[in-house]
Amino acid sequence: MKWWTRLVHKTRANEQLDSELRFHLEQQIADYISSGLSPDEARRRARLEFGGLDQVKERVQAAHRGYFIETLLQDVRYGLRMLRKSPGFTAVAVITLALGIGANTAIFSLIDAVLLRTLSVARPHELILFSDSPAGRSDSGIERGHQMVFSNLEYKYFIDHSESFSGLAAFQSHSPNLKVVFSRAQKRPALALGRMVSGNFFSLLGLQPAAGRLFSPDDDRVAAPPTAVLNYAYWSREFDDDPSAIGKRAEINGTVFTIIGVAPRKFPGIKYDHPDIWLPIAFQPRMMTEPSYAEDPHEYWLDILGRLKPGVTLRQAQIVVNAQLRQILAEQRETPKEIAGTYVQLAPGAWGISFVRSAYEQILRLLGAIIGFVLLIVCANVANLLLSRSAAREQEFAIRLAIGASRARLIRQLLTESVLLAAVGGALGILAAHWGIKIFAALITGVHGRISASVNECVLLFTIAVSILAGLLFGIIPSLRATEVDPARRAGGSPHGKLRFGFANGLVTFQIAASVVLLVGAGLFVRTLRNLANEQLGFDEDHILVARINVEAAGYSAAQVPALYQSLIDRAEAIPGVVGATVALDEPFSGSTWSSNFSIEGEPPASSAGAMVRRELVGPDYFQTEGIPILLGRDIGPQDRSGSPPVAVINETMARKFFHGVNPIGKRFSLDAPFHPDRAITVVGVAADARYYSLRDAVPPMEFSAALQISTKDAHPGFARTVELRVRGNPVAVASQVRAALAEVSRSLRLTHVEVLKDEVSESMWQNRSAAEFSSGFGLLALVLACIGVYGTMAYRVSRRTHEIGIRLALGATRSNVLRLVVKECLIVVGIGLCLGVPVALASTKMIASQLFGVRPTDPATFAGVALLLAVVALLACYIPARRAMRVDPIVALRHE
Amino acid sequence: MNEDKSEFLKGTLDMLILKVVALGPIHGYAISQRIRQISREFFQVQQGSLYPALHRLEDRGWLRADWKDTDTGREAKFYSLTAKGRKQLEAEMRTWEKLSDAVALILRTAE
Repeated sequence: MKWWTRLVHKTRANEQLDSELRFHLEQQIADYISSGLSPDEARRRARLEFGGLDQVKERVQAAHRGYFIETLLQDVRYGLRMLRKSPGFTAVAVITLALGIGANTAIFSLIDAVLLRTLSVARPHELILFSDSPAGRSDSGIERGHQMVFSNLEYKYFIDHSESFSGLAAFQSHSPNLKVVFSRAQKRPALALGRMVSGNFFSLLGLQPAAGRLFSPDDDRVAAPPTAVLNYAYWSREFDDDPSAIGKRAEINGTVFTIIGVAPRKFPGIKYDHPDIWLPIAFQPRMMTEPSYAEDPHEYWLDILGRLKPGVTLRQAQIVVNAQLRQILAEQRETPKEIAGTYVQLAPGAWGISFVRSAYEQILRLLGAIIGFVLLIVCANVANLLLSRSAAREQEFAIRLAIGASRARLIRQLLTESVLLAAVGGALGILAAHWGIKIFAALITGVHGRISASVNECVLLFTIAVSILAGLLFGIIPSLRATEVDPARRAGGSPHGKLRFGFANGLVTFQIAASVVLLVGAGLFVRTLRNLANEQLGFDEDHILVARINVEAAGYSAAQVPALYQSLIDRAEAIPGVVGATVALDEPFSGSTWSSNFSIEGEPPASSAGAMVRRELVGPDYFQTEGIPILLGRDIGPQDRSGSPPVAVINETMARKFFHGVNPIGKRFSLDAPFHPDRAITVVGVAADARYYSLRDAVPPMEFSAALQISTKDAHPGFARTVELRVRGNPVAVASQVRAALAEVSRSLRLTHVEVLKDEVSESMWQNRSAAEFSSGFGLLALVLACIGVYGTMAYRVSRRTHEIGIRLALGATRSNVLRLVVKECLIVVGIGLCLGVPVALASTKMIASQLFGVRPTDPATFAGVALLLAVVALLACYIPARRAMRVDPIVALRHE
Repeated sequence: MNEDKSEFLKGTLDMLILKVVALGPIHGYAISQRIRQISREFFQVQQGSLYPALHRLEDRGWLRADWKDTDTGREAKFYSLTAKGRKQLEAEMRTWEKLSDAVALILRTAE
């Protein structure tokens, strides 16, 4: 019989062993009889020689392979029986564990989806990005300092000198809308998201086509026939997964391309933005209807991606690349200051450039830490439960030890029970995690659920490991404790032993220390949120309604746009309750930024070298509508239309920083360097600083150009993307009227959404809010658990000391003496917990310092408040046991024995 | 029964069992009798050692067990040697011979 079949057919194996041994015994008896012994004597001798049948059987079983599993199964069966016998305990333990493990599973799923999962490309860990930051990319010009986008010339230079890389590829930094016509029958071109990539882009990533072929370097030549690769999802949508799409022609921005293949389904693009169509970068002039960037040193438009040569580290490559960059800049005769100030920050490329990752990394790490802490507290709580339960099982253990069970065997049995508890908790936890993921993702990302995660194999393994570890963690101390005392004393069952500080108090101390950490964190985050919410924004966010429009998609030409703006404004202002309306490129806190370098007429170029200004396009009466005070000069007005000299309003910071106390009204600047008189813009006003991008950072220099003066050749976004309305009273009340009214103006103009500005601002605080909500929620949970811990331990200890208290009372102790006895112990536990928790909290809050605002990580008020809160709550928790101790009747207590 | 005698050298019992079983299918009781007879009552195998050893050898695939009728018509578990077991036996015998030669050599030379 094979050993594993023995596990399945346990009874049959047992019967066979039995009859084998019986056969031996009977054969022996028969032999003795035939050698002349009486049957009784023969039986006696044989039995004596054989020894105990059961002992022999046990030894045989112990020799079996798989014996460990056999006894483990036995332990599990026994453990399940014990758990069934105390359903109340089991339910409480399993439910708290399920919540603890479930929360950990959920947060780990999110961490796995956002932080751990790499791009599905070949050997992702070799990939290096020449910047992995999804933020701060400028569309025109470049912010010197940390360089993130590169010119063709720089890219070529890096290729020609690539010592550290086995290959370099480039892709267009942003993904423009392409106008695509698949067939003559199509009336209007469809818009598709495009991205231009170098010919070796796909092969560098090691991607295989889902159909057809991907680009080769030959496709990426100016003279090559135009070819395009489709994204998988786009192919499914437009061609219904039909392979015959390969070889079809499509007119893209006026050029006819041949579709040569489909990118693999699992490839979302390096930036996870799922471009619909991939094109070779050689077609840039035709796609953008602009001169070629190939030889232009000032068109920064490429992201660079490389594969490290084996043996080269990221740091080595970083040094080489930066030296090369300085070389390029020197060749372009940049100023020494500029050369010294520019650098590239190489980053691992395995995870691509992910907005989701960079936006949520911090909060996910924070949450992971908080929830890990909570699980520790849960473990301490279950350990406490187990301790008090093992007190009730003392008799059982004593008997088992007395009849010869080894301590190790007993500990194993108890650990099996606790791992079993954790396993049941873990299984329920996985179920709970399905909701947990949704709840956490919603709390973290706000209304735009950008994270999708699920319980996959990796998460499952994590949960199993966590459950087993948790089971061992909370089981080990109670099992050591339960099996500790010699059986003779335990069998008596009387707790005369001196009560030491004890495991139970140690656990409560730990819970209090952990609560300190969580509550201090919660306090700091709540204060941060309050400070942020109290920040003055500089505009009337409560009364502004923002309607997003898409002029470009509606097919308006540049010539039609001014009239469209005017009719939108007129129609909006006709709505009752609307006191003013205007148009703008983007509303404050929209999340997008547009910046440019600039130079002021008459100033030496050095004065603003490397300086950037944030740009905004605004319609007539913009500042009046937004409620931003004009400090000098005037607002943008209806007279600032195409044909009139270009004007702009600048903000206070720009006036202060670059005009040095001189009245800037009437001064001219241009949005390039050096100053260009043909593109001069005259300053007509200075507006008070208002926060457009961040509640924390200082307001950057800003300029607001007149939207009606912007010609399409001048600017990349070109069109206003919002209509903004100032409303009397509650803006939500008129939202639907606005929607209807604006739709009247133009059928084709899609109104993507209408929102109150205040809500957008508070959305920008979402992460702070979720940090505050999470940490206070879990801080409170920790507090409640610690409270239960204090109560349970004190109650247990008072009940064990009833006898002692009785004697004290009989000997003349007063009730208040007894009260002091209990309270003193409680205070010692709390005191030690605080002493342990405060240093840990100080060390932990240092790590969240960058996420705080207006409060220091060592804020004494928060620490003192938390200490006081814990002390008061712990005293309340021990009040009931203390009262019970005071009510002990000495006579009853002494008679009890 | 002398305790010293019944203590086998570590691993020796396995070899003796394999050797006895090598003669043909045989049940546990007969194995213990056979070892006792051949060693002229020197080795007395305890049931508490014999059966764990048999089961261990079976687990390792060196012995095969079949339930068959004995001469007296009773059903018993008969053990026989597998090919793997035969190899193991040969290996163990070689080691044993080397070991006993070496011990004998020391005892002779050191006299």
